[in-house]
Amino acid sequence: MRTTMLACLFLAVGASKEAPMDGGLHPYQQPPKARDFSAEAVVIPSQAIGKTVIRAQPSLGVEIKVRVEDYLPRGREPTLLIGGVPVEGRSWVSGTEGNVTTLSFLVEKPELLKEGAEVTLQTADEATRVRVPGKLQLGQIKPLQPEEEKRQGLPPLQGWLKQGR
Amino acid sequence: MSNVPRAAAWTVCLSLWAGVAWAKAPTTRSSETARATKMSRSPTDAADGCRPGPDFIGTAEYNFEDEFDLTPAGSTTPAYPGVDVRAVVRYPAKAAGAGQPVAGGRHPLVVLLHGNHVTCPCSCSHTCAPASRIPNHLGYNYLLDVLASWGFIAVSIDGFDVTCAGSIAMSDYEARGRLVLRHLAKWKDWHTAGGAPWGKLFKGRVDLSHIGLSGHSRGGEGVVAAEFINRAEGLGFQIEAVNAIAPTDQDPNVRFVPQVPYFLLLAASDGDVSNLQGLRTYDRTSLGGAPVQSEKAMLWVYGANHNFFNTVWTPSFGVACASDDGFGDGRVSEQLQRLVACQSVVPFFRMQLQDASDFGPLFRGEVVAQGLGGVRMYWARQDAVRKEIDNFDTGDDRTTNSLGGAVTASGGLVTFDEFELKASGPDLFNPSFRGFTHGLVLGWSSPQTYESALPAAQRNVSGYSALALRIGQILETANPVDTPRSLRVKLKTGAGVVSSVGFDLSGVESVPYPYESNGGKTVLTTVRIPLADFRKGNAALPLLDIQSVILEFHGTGLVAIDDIQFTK
Repeated sequence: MRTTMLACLFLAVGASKEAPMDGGLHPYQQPPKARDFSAEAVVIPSQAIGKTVIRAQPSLGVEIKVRVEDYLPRGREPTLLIGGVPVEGRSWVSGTEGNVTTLSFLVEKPELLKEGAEVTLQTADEATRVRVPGKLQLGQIKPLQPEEEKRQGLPPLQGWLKQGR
Repeated sequence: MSNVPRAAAWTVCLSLWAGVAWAKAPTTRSSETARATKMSRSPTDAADGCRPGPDFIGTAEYNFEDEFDLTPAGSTTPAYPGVDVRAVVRYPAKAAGAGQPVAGGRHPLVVLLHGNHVTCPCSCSHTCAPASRIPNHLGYNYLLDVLASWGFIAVSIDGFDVTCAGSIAMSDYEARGRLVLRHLAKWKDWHTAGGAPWGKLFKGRVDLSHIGLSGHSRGGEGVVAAEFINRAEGLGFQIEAVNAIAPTDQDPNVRFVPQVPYFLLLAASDGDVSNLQGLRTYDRTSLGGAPVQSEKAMLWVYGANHNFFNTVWTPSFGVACASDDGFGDGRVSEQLQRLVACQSVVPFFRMQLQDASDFGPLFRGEVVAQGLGGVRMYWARQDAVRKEIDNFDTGDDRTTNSLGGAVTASGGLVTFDEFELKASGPDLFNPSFRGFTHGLVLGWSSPQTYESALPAAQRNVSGYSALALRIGQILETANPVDTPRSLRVKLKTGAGVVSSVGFDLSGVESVPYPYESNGGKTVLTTVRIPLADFRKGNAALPLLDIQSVILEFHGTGLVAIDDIQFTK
């Protein structure tokens, strides 16, 4: 038993590391360290669970990818705001490289995408809100390949964006 | 690649450090004796559901790396490719230890799923060596052990590939649900035919007609999703009970709702899911008028945080990247927090899957579980069998109840109206609520009454045993906690006979004042008054002819009310 406990203690000492706490803030209350963002058009596929139809047909959307340093994953979803308006859609971790995590946010409503809008990110309440460097440039959103648009029967990105104006 | 040896070491270490005396298996009784014992348990067991049962605890693990792709229907592109099917298992055994033969008979299956957390130290990477992965699924061994000692096969899933992950094509909540269902399919195979990795160890030993699911955080939403998908797609797993611990409720496309008995354990000092969105799942489950109704319960624990329900997420256990997320006053210790879980989650599954009905008083808030006398806990509960006088969900009409009876109030109420008892949206009273329901707000500064009438055809309540209502004092500066106030609940018969039971609203013990720490929340809990109490002062009170329910308020106060009902 003593040997086992010692082994466990060794394991603990070797592995123990609480999430970083800056400025005395609780780790879950700290604003995220947002580095930059990019945007690209994506196909949102049709989806159903049994008879519950979530999306009858594929549609076009824009995925905003925000790179964050030292991201602390949690139960609560992060929130992206474009021009101060929350994007109420799906978000997920789409990549990790070193201490940089890429968070993806799906924008399904073109009216949310305003030229020159500021992008802000919060991981919990408003106290965690930070501005992501850069501004939204609609011309910089990477479109789908034309053959993919055609195959899916989706409008071109620029036409879709105009629906929101 | 397998990480079983590493996981086994973690199992030993974490069990030792948990220091859970209740996890020690006795060494003398057989499981056959156990079943006899369960049938003859004394009523006092309702207060000690975490007490270890009579069975030996067998231990096992399974690990199928890259077992399957999670691919949405109609697509050929995996949303989650190469998903591992890995879990730790505790089961009733003929002797304690790894791989021991399973005790005789068939045993109900309980499957647990953790939530979102780092997958590798300390990031969302999925590329670290298996031995370095964060063993998120090993943090519930304190529950698995007790469940196994009471005859359950208890499984905790490692959701590695659906943690810190996601896809446009399938939310990680749905993915979690589908991963749970994949594990259930494995257990079905092991019961019917056996198979790797343990041959026939579990052949004929799994009671697949009694399956329970439990999930923590996003895992809570995941197990609710599993029950939903199982039903929606006709998969046929007999899931009979669902528990969610500090769950999320945030899939943007589907609001998952269980249609089986549901138990929600909610931590008031949750600093992760700090908006307590999981409370909405209680309100949405078995709504009034829903085609399938079942019982539901909620336990609201002051001072409990998000992470301490999982020992791997608890700093004192020494696993990397753990933290104490809790904030606010009145925190409870991590040990007490896990005892709360054990004293409620274990009884829930024993009650629902083993017919241990004498845990009813626990879920009605009539007994305090052993060791938890100093923890402030409040219950909400709704029985499957009930007569809903007013659920306040049938339109924004304060003058008519859900039975169609008239609602009247004395003229001096400061506030008398219905509102959305939610955190956001239209028609809010204030944003201190966290639920998903429509309810009544009453404010008074002098003696006032509120009366809700039962139509003539609805006045026989002799088949019920209690009057219940959900009530909570509202968080507002004009409603200070120490203001003297009281409530008398009265039943009036057709002949005008009145009988009443009184409550002191000034304290927190019968009707909680809102939790002012952690951002401020107003939470409704259930006050349940046995009909026998109404007859104590009036034995002639005829339950065949109850004309109305009267709420009589004194002093000064402001409360929210929902779900006035006669219940079992």
